[in-house]
Amino acid sequence: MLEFKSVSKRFGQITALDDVSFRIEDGEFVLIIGTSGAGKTSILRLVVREFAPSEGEIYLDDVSVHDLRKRDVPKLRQQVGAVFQDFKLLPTHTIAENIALALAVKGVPQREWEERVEHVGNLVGIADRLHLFPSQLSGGELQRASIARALVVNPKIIFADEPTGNLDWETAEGIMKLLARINQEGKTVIVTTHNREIIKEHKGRVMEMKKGKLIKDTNKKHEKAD
Amino acid sequence: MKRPIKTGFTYVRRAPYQAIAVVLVMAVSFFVTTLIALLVYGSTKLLVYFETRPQVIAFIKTDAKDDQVLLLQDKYRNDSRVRELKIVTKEDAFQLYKDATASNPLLGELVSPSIFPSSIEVSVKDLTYADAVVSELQQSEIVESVGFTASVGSQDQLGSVIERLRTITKAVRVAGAVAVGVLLATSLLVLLVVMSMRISMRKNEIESLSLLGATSSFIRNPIMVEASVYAFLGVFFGWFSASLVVMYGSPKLLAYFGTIEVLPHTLQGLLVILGALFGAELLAGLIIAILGAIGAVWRSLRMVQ
Repeated sequence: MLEFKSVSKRFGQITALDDVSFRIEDGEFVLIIGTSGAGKTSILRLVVREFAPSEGEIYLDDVSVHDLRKRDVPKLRQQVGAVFQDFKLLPTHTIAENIALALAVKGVPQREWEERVEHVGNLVGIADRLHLFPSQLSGGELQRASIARALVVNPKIIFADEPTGNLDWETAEGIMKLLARINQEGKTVIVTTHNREIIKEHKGRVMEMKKGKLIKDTNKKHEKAD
Repeated sequence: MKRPIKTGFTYVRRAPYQAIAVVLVMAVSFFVTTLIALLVYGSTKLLVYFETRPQVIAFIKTDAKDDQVLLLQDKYRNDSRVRELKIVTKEDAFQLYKDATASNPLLGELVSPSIFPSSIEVSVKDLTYADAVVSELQQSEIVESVGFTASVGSQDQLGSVIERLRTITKAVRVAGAVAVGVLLATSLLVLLVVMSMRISMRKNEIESLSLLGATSSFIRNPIMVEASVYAFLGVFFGWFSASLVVMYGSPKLLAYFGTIEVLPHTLQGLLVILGALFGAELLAGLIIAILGAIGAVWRSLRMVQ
């Protein structure tokens, strides 16, 4: 469960998020949509505690993200499978090494790495690309590798920030299908996007952001439940 | 611990020219540090040598009676100003003369012990007592004359020789400490700058690791290993070069100073000193490396987190 309670984030005069509240239950597949600068990425950055909210409370299951101590931040990040628009894959490491890095960070014994990397490689469809370096892969393959790295540590929640941002429609559709399959296997998946095609195709919950405010949520019952 | 070491060595391999630059700067620092440390060691030994020599020699009149000599000995043996007192009999003096003229035995055969005066050699605990002791001995009725073993002609000159040695030793220590301090600070700064540069080149990597949930130590440890490799190589090359210079130059140096042990006379003794220096320098180098790495990573993580 991920919950935002009246969360605001300001950077000096600029308000990135303004009194945002929502609750996402385990196993949901949520699209957060909005134009550039609407505050979508700020939500992810608050969830992984890149910065703390100016006001409000954030909960990830029983963890109070908003007042988390600095030394507990790594543990929080290990529980969130973050997928970035720019992939954040290390160019000097092969795809397999990049994926294994997430396991090393989490302290998974090295003897388990190969099997787990191969498993997620098969799951996201890049098993034959694991030995290559990021510069040798296409945009869609890089995004799949990024998803594989997020998945390999078996996180509670997958948070993908504009995962289709730089991809053509066909590849983007493939990525969204992959994320849907991951969701069907029981993972909570949150995707930010401004891609109209993806929004049209998506059957689940959609939250729309505009100028830092949450202006539309197709599943209001969670807020009312409070 | 295997991963940080492996990653640390990978970092070193990836930028060999930067690694060489850091190692060279550290090697120069520790080369000079080794030489300065040995200079301080040698000058201290030199000072100790002169300070512990008998500074005052009272030559006893040939007609002095044994009980008078004994009385004089007892007086100075129990004197709190005196560090050491030694009696040189006529026979001892004759033997010293024979040893000194061993290359020409005829000179030894021409004299007998009776012509040599017996003497009392006195080492004072502090040179400031020397004047008073000399005056007292000169006034003694059984003392013929008073002289100095480290003599360069007069009482004033003896004092000034030791004073000058003290000043030089102090200057060597202070200048050495300042030079070593400046060099080590430079090494730290260079290491900090290079490590910061390396870290800034790896900013994206650090950012990615941090977002994946890597702890500070996970990010810092390989960088500390990398810095430690530089420190080890820098210390080793600096110390090794200085050791070669010292070992090459030590026979001439020891021959020049004779019995004064400005450096150990045996190879084993010299190796012990050099080994101890290597240990101390390695410790200092690793401290510098670890401080440099911690400082550089801290600055980088402050920007990322």
